[in-house]
Amino acid sequence: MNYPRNVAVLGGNRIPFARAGKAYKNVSNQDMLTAALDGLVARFSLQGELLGDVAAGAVLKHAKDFNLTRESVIGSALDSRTPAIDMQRACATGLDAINFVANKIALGQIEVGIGGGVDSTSDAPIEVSGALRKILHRANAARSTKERLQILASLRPADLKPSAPSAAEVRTGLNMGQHQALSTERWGITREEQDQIAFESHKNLMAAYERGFFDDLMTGYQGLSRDENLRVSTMEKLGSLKPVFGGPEGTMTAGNSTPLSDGASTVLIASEEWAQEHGHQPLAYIRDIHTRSVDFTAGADLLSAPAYAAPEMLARNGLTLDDMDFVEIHEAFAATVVMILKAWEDEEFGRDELGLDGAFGSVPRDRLNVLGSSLAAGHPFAATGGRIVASLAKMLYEAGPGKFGLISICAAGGQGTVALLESAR
Amino acid sequence: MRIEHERLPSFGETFTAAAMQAVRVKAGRGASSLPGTEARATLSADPEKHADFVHLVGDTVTDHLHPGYVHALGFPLTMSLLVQKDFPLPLLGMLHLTNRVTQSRGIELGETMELIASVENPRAHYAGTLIDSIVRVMVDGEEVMVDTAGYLVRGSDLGGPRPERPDREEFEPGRATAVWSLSGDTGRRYAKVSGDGNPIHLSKVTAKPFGFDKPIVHGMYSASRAYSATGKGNDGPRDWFVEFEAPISLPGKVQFATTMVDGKAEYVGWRAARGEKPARRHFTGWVE
Repeated sequence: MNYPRNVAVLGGNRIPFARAGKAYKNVSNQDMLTAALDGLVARFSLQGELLGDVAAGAVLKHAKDFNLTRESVIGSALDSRTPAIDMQRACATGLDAINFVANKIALGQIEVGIGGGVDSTSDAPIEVSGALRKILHRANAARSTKERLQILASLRPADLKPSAPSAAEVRTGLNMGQHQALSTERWGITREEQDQIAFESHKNLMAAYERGFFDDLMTGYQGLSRDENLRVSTMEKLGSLKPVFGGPEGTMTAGNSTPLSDGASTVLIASEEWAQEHGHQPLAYIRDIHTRSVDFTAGADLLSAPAYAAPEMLARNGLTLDDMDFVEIHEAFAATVVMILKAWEDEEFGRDELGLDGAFGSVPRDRLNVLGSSLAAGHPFAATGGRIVASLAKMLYEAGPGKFGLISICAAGGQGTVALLESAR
Repeated sequence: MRIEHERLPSFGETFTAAAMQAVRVKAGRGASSLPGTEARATLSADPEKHADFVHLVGDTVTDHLHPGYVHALGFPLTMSLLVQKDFPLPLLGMLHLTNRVTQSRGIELGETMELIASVENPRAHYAGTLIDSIVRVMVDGEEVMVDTAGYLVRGSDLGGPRPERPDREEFEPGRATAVWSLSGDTGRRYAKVSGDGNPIHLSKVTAKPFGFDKPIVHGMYSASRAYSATGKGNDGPRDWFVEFEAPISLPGKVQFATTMVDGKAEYVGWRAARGEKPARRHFTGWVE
């Protein structure tokens, strides 16, 4: 896309991601997002700075957190007059929040902003049942104590059962893993293909930590200094795990599916003018971001939307998959990554689904998730976009001029958001 | 003398001792000095309890301890000194009038702290004797925090001849920046996160024998919440002061205002005027 002006990614900051119910079990979404913001503020000397906007969100959010991002900004070291907005597009929340800020900068509405996200499965909101809510409303409107007691007497034990959020799709009743298991089978994805993705993810992320790649992208929090889920794994170990989705014959395990996680991430985005005035070197430019959905209720693969979104986005930028130096496919499940790669390599999919002459293309494995992804790092839903954008921007900068990177993130509701970044030097 | 605590004494233990002491000590008659005992304990904050405290007093959980929580950690040590047999003043009925915390740096969650409590500096007050309960917080041999609580022991002459009661200055409330709606269980909730289970804070029934028709909120709840509201954070050198005036009955509404004056956040909490009843100030203080 030809943006009216360049949108630069200057850097990012996240807290290490934790496994559900572990390192961050005592803290809230607001605590984590504030910690990630304050780390970014410290790194870029933004104390007391009035920014154009801060966009972030959480997929799982308490009702009282309706202004989660604004509350976090007030609690941070930024100028308290910095505005903020809460956004949500399931697992694409972080990337879409970044898009919101990027677009404002591109149009000249603001000079600098922060995009990001946070999620906690440890502090997930628990709701009361609809039946209890109705009874309480009626009791509230009662005219006498006697009437109120009569209404309350109609309560049944089942009405008191709290309901926790679930990862199930409302219209199909199937959760993410069950949906992916159907797709995994349809695309004939093997256990070994999936375990290989998981193995590489841990290996690559570990290597990135060891060379200090995250030193200027992360601040420790609550005693954690690296992602809690990251481990030294082997193909044998991964191969020994029992399937968790797709029945006893299934190929999806806890090792090749992302764990429930807690964490937060932020990305600093600015116009080139602002970056120059403040002495910051842009790492990458955001060239385009695009979202589309698939009709999974009619049988399309729930997590396949990025397989459509990326070709559409690259086409309108006059680019192909071969032009991509780095490809970041969010590892919701290892099988999701394999499915998207297979779809792009598939002649029939290219012709029938994408309207191309043949297959869209293939991704050399040495360009795929080269510093690991969600299987190793963990996946606090809304925090994943910021993690990937900040890492990819730095990878592009390190790689030098004229390099391109593609980001693909699948999301609930059959959605997918993709992004195109170009190195800024 | 020095008392070494293997673990922090529970509130129940010290409170029972205080009740026994109340029978024994009558406002320090005859005594002319404090015994000069120290109580020490080495500990680190429990992350879960700290997070619960921080959330209750309206702050964000960072990797640094809320100074109000450090005060709560030191409180049992102070209690253990006040209930010693040779301590000449009765603990029951002591009034927490002021609190000052000076920090040379933020204390990180997980750092091992040595807490050293002492009771010092008896001096005259128009209503009795003022004493300072001091908790020094050491990390690796370096003093990082000093928490000084000023208590009034009514009726005691230990501090010397009592001066005249000064004229009370008129209180003209300004405009509130926030209103705290405190529910009836605020004292119980703060007792849970701070460990201070003094009956005057818990319920109508338990407050009654101590002369309160309704439970009153912990002074350090108000102070800690005010501290949080200033947004100064817990990460650096800090100086925090509070002076308590009229207690806050529960349930209750507190008008609160904080203003920034040259980088110093000043705050005040009060009860709004109602009909004939004038506004009453609950507390004032500052953070810088």
